[in-house]
Amino acid sequence: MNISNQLTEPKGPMNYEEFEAMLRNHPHKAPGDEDFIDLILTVSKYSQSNPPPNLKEKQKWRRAQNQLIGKLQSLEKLANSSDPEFAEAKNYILGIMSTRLRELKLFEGRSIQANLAVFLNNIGQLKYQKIILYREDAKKPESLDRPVGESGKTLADSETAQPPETWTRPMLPWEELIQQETKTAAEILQQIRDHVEADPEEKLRNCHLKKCPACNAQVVIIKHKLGGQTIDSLAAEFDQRKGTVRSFWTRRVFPMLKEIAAQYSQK
Amino acid sequence: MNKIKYTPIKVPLIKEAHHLARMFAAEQTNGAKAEQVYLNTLAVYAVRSYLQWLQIDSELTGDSWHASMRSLFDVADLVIPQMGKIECRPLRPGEEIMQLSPDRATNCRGYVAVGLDRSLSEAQLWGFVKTIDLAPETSEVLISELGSLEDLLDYISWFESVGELLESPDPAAMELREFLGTRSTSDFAAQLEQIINIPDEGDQLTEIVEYMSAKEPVASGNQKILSKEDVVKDKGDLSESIKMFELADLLLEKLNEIIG
Repeated sequence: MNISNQLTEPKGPMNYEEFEAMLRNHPHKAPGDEDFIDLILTVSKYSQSNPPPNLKEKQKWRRAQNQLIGKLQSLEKLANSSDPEFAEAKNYILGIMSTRLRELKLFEGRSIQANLAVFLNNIGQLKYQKIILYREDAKKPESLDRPVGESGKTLADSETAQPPETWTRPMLPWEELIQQETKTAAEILQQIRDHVEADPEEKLRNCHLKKCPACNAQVVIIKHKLGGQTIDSLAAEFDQRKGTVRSFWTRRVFPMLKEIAAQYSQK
Repeated sequence: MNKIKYTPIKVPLIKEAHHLARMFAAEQTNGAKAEQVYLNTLAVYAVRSYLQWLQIDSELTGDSWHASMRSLFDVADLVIPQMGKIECRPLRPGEEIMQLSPDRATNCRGYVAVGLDRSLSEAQLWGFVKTIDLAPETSEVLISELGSLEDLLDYISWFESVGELLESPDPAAMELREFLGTRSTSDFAAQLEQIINIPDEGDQLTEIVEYMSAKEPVASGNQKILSKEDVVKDKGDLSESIKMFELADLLLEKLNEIIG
């Protein structure tokens, strides 16, 4: 990268007015750049710590973020690779874009959109290299001498060093949730089926179509949800209108079944 | 092929998304169900990633993230705080119709159509439709009939802003919550979004009062617009009704303030 060609060299994120002036006064604009400038300015005007003052501004801000992402994607200016790890870098770029826009630097002879693409691709490249390093690192056999994290310390350096085989990466929030769900689907479905068939409080049997007691919640669950029979076919079997049975399923039976299923999710 | 109005946003499906999808699918008892769960998980993950790009919080605490629920129902829900849930419906390559699951949550606010490519390396977010704009028995929507993702973003912003207002320690908000009782503020916010589009302010007021005074949740679109006199007559207690109208008036004023 030729630093001498850089028109402006901001040290960190610029204030909004300086940033706007830099974009508006950039001498090398391509067709469509004005749209990019408007979107970049709208997106970079607010942040999580400086939120829009009202709903209209918030909607405008989020619409601009969406449009900017859409424009970048349709121009296909962001770097690409068939390496699946690169998807993570791409995901990262779009995730941090709005928060780092004001760090954008403009280079001579390059349009606004080209400058933006270079800026984001550089961020993506750094992230990609980190991912690759992590991947390569992960392939190495565990060892007490292997540095942990960015500090350069090894497990052996640590007073609380654990044997390598007991070390695991921290659990992600949803993984904790999954760990609680140790039962297989077959077990759960069987428990739900047993509950529905037993109907201990007779709630299901007592919930039925007014003119057709045979078409009750227990029968509908067993035949439709657990047996795979369609609602329309159930309606024909009980000589009821399709809409009536569908509505019965949606409004009455489905919430009852959800309640039962939730019990077995928690147990 | 029907003309599609909006260019989809593309979301890379990273390894973690596939890892989760594989785990959830592996719990299932047959191939078709495992495929449904796999695609549903990818769809939820893609929408969550997209919202993260826009710093919008979402929670993986819906039915699709619970073993018994996803085994029993066709669920691909993502929880958006202050809003409720959105269903992220996967579309296989070439599909132009979004199938809606009959197993929808009561607080499902809308549907996002998530196209998946053959290699499952990328998701395409085609658009959004509000539940309130669909007939109750709708089972499918053409992707050419969907609204844009910006409609989703506007809708989320609405719930956030109105939620903040309704849950604030403001005395009027506290009184409103008392009237709502056990009904959720997000259900009320969904109704308010419809009410605010009624052109006549008097009708807006009566609709708000009707909702506040109803004992059971009121389905949108099923209400007859009543006059202020009708409502007062129905309520019996005149002072209570007047109080409700004053509160509704105050609410409208505050809503107009937050709209800007």
